[in-house]
Amino acid sequence: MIAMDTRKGKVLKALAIVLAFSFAQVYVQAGLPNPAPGAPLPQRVITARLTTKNNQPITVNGNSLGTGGTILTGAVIETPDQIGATIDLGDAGVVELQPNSKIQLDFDQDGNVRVKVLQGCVTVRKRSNALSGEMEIYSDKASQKTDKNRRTLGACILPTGDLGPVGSVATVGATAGGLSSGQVALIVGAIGGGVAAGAFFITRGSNPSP
Amino acid sequence: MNAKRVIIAVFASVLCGWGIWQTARVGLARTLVEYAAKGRRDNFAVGALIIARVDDPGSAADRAVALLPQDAESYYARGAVLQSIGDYPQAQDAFAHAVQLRPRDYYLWLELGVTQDENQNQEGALRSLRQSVALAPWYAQPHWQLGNLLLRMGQVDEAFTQLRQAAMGNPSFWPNAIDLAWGIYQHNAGSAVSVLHPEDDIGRTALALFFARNNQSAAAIDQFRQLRSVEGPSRRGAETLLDELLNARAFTEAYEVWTRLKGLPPTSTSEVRDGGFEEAIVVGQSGFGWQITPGVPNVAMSFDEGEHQNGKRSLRIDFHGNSSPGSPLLTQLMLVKPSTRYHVSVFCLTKDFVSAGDPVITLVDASDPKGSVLAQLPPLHSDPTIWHEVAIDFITNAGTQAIRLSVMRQNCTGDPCPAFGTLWLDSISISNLTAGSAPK
Repeated sequence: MIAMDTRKGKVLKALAIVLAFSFAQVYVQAGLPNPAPGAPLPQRVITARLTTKNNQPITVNGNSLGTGGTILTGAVIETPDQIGATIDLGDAGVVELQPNSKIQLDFDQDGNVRVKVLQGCVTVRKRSNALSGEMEIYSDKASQKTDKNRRTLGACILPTGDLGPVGSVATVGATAGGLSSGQVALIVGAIGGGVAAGAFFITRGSNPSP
Repeated sequence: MNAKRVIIAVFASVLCGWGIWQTARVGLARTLVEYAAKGRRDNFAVGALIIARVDDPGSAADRAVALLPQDAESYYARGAVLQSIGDYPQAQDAFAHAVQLRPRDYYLWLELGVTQDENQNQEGALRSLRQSVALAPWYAQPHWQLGNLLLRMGQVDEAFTQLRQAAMGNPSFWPNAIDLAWGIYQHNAGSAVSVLHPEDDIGRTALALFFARNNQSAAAIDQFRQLRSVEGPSRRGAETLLDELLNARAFTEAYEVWTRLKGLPPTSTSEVRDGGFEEAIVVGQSGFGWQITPGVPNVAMSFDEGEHQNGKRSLRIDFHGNSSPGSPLLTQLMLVKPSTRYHVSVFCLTKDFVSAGDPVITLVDASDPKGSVLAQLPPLHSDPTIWHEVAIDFITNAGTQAIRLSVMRQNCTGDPCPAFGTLWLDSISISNLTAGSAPK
C-alpha cells in the first residue's frame, strides 16, 4: 500500500513537472519576438514629440494620437474642442496648437519649421540658435517668420485667409467639470461602521432594563 | 465586571475613533487626489476642498501628500497636476517618489517615463518605460510609449518591435504604427509590411486600408489575400477596403475583394452581372453588381414577372413626372480590357412613354478621372408589346480597366424635363469582339 502510494506520488510529480514545462513552453512561445524583418534601413528621420493637454488624444494624419506620440514631417495635426497640443521639435523649437486648430507641419534637420495654418491658432517658439533654420507660420495668403530678434510667433488664420494675432479667432471653449463617486461610500461606510462598532462594544453584554 | 466592560468600551471607542479619523484622512486625501488629478468637481469634492482649506489642484495635491506622505496615489496626483501645467522637473520628482512607494505599479513607471521624456531625459525615460513594459508585458500602452521613444532616439528596429506589440495588444494603435512606418521608410510599402508584419486579420485589414488610401493597391490586395476570413468583424473592414479601392480606381483589386465578399469565383471576365434581372438588387451596396440610385423623384423601379424578354422577369421603370435626366437611374461597373472592341446590347420595351428626354444607356470609362463617355446606345424605344434590341459596338481606351454602364435619360432642351410612361429592360449583355467571339 505504501509502495503504491509512493509510485502514485511519483507519477503525479512527473505529471506536474510535464504540465509546468508545457505551460512554460506556451509562455515562451507567446512571448518570443517575431523574426527579424529584414527591411531596408531607413534614412535618418527627424521626429517630433507630441504632448496634449491632460493626455487627451488629438488627430494626426486622420488618426487619434495622444501624449508621447511621434510626429513626422508633413503631418496634418488637428486639435478638438478644449484640447491644446504641444509639438516638441528638439533643438528646432516648439509648436503650440490651440484647441479647435488644424495645421500642416513640415520640418527638416536644419531646424527649418514650416507651419501652415488651416484652422484656428498656433504659436511657434524657436528654442536655440543651435540650428540655422527659421520657423515660419503661413497660410495661402500670408507668412510670418522668426528671426534673430523675434524667436516667438503666434498667429490665427482669419476667414479671409490672412494671418491675425493670437486671440483674433475664438478657439477655446468653456471647461467642463467631471463627476465621480470617489470615497463617499468609503468615508460614510467607515463612519457608520465605527459608530456601529462603538455602540456594539458599549452595549455588549448588558441587557436593557425593562 | 462593570469596570472591565467600561474599559473595553472606552478602548473600543478610542480604537473606532482612531479608525474613523484615519479613514476620514484617507478619504479626504483620495478625494483631493481625484480633484487634482482626475478633475472631480462634484459637491463632495467641493466639501473636501473646504475641509482641507485648499482651492486649486496644485494645493489640493500638496495637501493630499501632507495627509498621506506614504501614499503613492498622492504623489501621482501631484505629478499629474505639475505635468498638466508644464512643470516637468517637479512632476518627474513627484512620479519618482510615487514609484519608490509603489515600485511594482507599471502605470507609475509609465507616467515617470513619459514625464522624463518631456523633461528631455531620454535615457531615464528609456529605463522607466522598459520597467513599465517588464511589469506589464501584455499591456499595449507601455509598448506604445517605449516604441515611440525608441523611434525618436533612432533605434528604429526595436521601436517597431514595440510599436507592433502595442498594436497587437490594442488594435487602435495600428493606424498610427502604420503611418509611422510609412513615413520612416519613405512610403515603401514592402518595408512597412516587413517591420510591422501583422499576424492577425485586424492588423492586415488596417494595413490593406492604409495602402488602398495611399494608392498602393497591389500591397493592399496582398494583405487582403492573407485574411483568414472576411466574415464577422473582418467583413466591415473588407467592405471599406472595397470602397477605398473603387475610389482609387483600382478596379481589378476591387473586383477581387468584391467576389470574395460575395463568395464568387474571382474570374475577371468582362460581363454584365445579372443582365436579366433575375436576382435581387441590394440598394446601397457598392461593387460590381447593379446599383440603383435611391430617392430619384417620380421614378419607380421594380421587377416585373409579367413582362420579360428572357428568363422569368425584367426590370420595370415607371416615370411619373419631372426628374433630373442626367442622373443615372441604374448603373453597373464591369471590368474590361484596354484597347479592346466590345459589343453591348439590351432588350427594351416601352409603353405610353412620353418625354423630350428619351431613356438611353451610356458607357463611361471608369478608369478616366474625367469620366469620358465611350459610347451611348440609341434611345430605348419599342413598339408596344414587342421587345426591341438596341446595341452598339465600341472600343475601350488604352488606359481603360473598367467601364460604368448607366441607364439615364437624354437631356432636354429646357427645364423641367418630365417623363411619363413605362420602360422595361432585359437581357443586357457585353461581349468581346476583339477576341473573335460572336456577339451574344
